[in-house]
Amino acid sequence: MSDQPDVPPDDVGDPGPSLMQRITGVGESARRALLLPSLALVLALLVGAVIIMLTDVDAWQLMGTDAGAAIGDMFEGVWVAYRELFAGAFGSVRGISETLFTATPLILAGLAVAIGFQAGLFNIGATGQMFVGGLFATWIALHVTLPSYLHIPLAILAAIVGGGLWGGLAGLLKAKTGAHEVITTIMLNFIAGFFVLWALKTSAFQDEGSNIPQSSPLPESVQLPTIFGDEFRVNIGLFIAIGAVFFIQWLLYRSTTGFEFRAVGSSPGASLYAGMNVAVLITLVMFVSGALSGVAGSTMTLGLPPYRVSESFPGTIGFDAIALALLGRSHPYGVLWSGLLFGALIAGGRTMQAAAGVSVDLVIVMQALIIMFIAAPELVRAVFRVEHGGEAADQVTRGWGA
Amino acid sequence: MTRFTRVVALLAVLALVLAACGGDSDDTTTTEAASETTEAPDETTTTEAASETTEAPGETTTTEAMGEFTAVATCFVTDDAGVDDRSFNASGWKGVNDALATGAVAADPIVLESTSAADYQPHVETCLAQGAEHIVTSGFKLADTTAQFAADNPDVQWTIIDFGSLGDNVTGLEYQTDEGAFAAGYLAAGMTQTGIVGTYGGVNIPTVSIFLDGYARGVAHYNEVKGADVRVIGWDVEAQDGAFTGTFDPADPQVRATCESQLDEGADIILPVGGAINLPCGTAIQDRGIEGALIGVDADAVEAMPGEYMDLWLTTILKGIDIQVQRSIEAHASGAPTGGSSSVGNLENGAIGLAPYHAWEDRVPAELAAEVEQILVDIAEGTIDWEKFVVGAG
Repeated sequence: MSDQPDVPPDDVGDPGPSLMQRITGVGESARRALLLPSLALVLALLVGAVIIMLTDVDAWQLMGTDAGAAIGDMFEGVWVAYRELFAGAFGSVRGISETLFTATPLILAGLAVAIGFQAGLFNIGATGQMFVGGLFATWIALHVTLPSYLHIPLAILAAIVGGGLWGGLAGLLKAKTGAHEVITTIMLNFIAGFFVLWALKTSAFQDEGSNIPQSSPLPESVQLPTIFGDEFRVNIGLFIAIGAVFFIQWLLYRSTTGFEFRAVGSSPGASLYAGMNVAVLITLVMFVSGALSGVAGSTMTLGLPPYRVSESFPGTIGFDAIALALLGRSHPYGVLWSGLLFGALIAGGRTMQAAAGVSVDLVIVMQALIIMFIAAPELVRAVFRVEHGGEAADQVTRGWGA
Repeated sequence: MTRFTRVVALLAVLALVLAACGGDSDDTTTTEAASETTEAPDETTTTEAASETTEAPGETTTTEAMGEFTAVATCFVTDDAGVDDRSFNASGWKGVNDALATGAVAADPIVLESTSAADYQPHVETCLAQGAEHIVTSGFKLADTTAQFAADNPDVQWTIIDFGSLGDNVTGLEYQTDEGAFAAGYLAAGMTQTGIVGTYGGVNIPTVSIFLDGYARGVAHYNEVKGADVRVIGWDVEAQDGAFTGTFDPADPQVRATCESQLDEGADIILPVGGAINLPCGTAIQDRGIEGALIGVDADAVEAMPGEYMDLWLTTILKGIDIQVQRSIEAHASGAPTGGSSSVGNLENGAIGLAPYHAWEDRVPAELAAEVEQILVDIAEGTIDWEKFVVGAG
């Protein structure tokens, strides 16, 4: 994270970071990049505890007769819930496997959103790009017969192409017609979802005679090999995700193209004036973003037992990715840690649900709270009495992405 | 000032939390209300045969059961629609709780809500780790996972909703819902003033299309018996395809658009199949001020969705998922051999039925009502000749 130069806020002629840059964390220092998300997480855990207490129906019924015991029960409930949350995520080999397995597509999709933020683009279309990438990978899985060491790379390559084209389409529309990527990527999500629903009912994917929108089982040669043995789901997709983190880190901060991506994000006008081909760069960054989402989609089709692709395989990953890109301050390493954190929350949330009887919705609420607190840094500063870093006078100089 | 801001911040958060809780408890109440009404087959004014059999599980088991059952630890895994779906997940979970009330389920049954397909396997593993003796998996999406873990855990009993049996220890719960839909189609054909009735579904999957198929065949039966020419739009029996919204989300504009297009074609009685996707159609009918009607599915719509559409519900095609789940667990708890077979809910065993006409009670001619009742009896006794939808692993 320290690769990012710490721009003095009072630099002459610098209009200060835009609203979007402040929310997404593009261009901020390492210290602040760590501080705000950590405080937001702490606050989210605190509010989560209040929610657990307020929804403890049994304790509230006890409140009338024995208030002391009721309050004791409430704190006990919070303790048990968070203990199980932690145990479910890290307390066993299975827990660690589940955390890493859940984190894999989240990291990839989070990178997709983050690289968009770096270039000033808000890619809400990770879901659609996962759909298309995952479907392309599934087609290769079902229609090509190859040994494993060729079949898997080819299927993932197909996912890169599929997701990349789907993302690149939104980029092209923006570059050539000015259509806002927030609108186009949302719409492309719907199109991709219905396309997959239709495709899974065609003979190219479906079992013969079946009427359920589900692919036939994928051959073993294309199933992503598991790391800790077949009993645990975490698979080599994790290595792909970590590799992608380092690749994007290199791309953004060590390559000319990455510099141009970030330049377009800081100021499209200045980039144009400096001789960059902004239209091509916008299309390209959306291609890379879509390709990352596509790979995320392929880890859900090739890596999820029982290896049969259903019509809703991206789940909510595409939207969780936005949250974790924000939490990771749009930085590859930040996305890696946020992905692991969200993976742990989701995996631990399952155990919490069973052992502590706390609804899994709490995890979703906590994710939402984290975003809310990050989007409202003044609130966090007020609660924790953190000094202003001098950027208090920032104004909303640009709309989202502009 | 800082302190003031902090207090305001905390208050704001608290307000949010309370609002969230408020919304939540509302939901729960509605869901419970919704599920309670699923017992309605007991009350159906339909056939003697049907109602007698229906009363059996409801009444007798409750009273004689208490001592007979050896309570089994039960775990319920939803599909990605979650437990508050006002549909089969909610109804299935109600079945577990009904069985809890009769003593067949041990205290504190576990419900595990899935939010995506990635949840199915860990949830089933959690059930097993928590010592579940009976695991109910809700919906065809869990079929592969259920088959795999049921084979690995032969000592555990399994029930899967809306799917066939998957092994010696798995009871598959399937529903011949087209039996009820057939009677509803006949009723609609007899009630339409425009000579056109409509139907549409969420997605063309067997558990949805079976309603549309039975409905269309019921209309055809009416035409045959009466020499009438009532037309069905939204389902083609030959092609096994029809009008689908592509979503179960009532807020999706496609839902209302699908209904509107059928109203445009002149349909006045419509059967929308899939959760709450019938509600926008009710709004469309009201906005047009036409004398139209809706037919509900699963749980009696009048009781499940109280509100502004009360005058619109002609009837509901009842699908007693809760009844079948309860029976499956009770069979296990009473030591009867379970699993290895599919249990098909139908008119004869009371898991399928037609709800009372409620607001339409006075408007349905007595003659037509009697004919519909006769059809229900004939279907239950198997004396009516028609091609049923093939239920089973799709």
